[in-house]
Amino acid sequence: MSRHLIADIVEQYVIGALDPESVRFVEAHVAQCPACAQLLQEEAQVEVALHEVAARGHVVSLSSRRRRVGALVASAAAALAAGVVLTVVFGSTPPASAQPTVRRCVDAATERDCLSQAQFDGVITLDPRGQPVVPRYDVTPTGGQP
Amino acid sequence: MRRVLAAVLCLASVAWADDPLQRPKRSSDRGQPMPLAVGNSVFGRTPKLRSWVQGWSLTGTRPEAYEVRCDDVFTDCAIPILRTRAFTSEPFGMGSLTHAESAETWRGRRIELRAELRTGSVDGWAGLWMRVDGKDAHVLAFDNMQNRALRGTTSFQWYSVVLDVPADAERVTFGVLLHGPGAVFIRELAFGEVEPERPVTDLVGPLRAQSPAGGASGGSL
Repeated sequence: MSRHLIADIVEQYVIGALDPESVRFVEAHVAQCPACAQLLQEEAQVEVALHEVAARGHVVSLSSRRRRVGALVASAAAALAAGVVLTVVFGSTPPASAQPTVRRCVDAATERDCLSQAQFDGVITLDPRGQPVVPRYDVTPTGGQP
Repeated sequence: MRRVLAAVLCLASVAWADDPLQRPKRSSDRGQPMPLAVGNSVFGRTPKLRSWVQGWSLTGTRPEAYEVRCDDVFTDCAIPILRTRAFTSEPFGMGSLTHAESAETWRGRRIELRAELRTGSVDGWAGLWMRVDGKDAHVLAFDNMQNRALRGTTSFQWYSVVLDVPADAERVTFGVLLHGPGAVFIRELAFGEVEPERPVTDLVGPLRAQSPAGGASGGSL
């Protein structure tokens, strides 16, 4: 096996960001490639650890994954076994978040905070006077524009 | 079999990568939006990302939580991904892959931004957006697909926003947005004039019309 999956594609597999065809491709490849199977196993373990850390309220950059792998990996598992574990842990069930709709800031006393939150969330919001307030995506927090 | 799957995975990307991505392309021919090249050398680490045209930026209310990457398998394919960068307990805000330009070319015309997108584990929402500004950044028209947002994991589909550009428009800004954890894959993006028969998707105009103050200015925060 002369070619190996890059870390990006493995990460995307682990977080469930691949389409079904790509998932089949990755799984078929790791079934024949012990090195990629180990990478997949490592990414899965890192992913679990990151979720645990995030749940404790710490900020963890994805770019720090590589440094954490060594400490987190106990051993490489069989490729198909890793795939089965990932399927169970990171199933493709979409999250049940609500569809964004037009938000309303009805209370003049909290208007400023309400509109600030709406801007942060990037949604159109009606102010207490019923006027739509449009979020600006092209102004960075530092005031720059593209 | 592996070679076949790899070829399928990269087919669209290779086709796009072969395009001479020197400048964003557009067409003023009615009904014929042209592909736009997406990318910005400051975002990516892959050669393809570095070679993409300038003029696109990563913006948003918390752009540092997002990044633009390339949908690589083995090689540097060219499907950009807008995705979250970090796992964090802090709110993500939103990030956008954004392009802005003068409205001069488009005044008096109906324009469309359309893209073939798919999403991966989008926990918040994602979509296309476009805004037409007048003098002093007054918002003349805006659509961010928040009433038809993408979320969860979806297959590649075409999405579209259509706005009118009034005679007093000064700037047109558009892009792809992501709110919260997940990834948006952008296989193709096109921008241009469309037939006047195409319905506009402006979300702000109808809200202003319904407001007690009528057509008063909405503006921005």
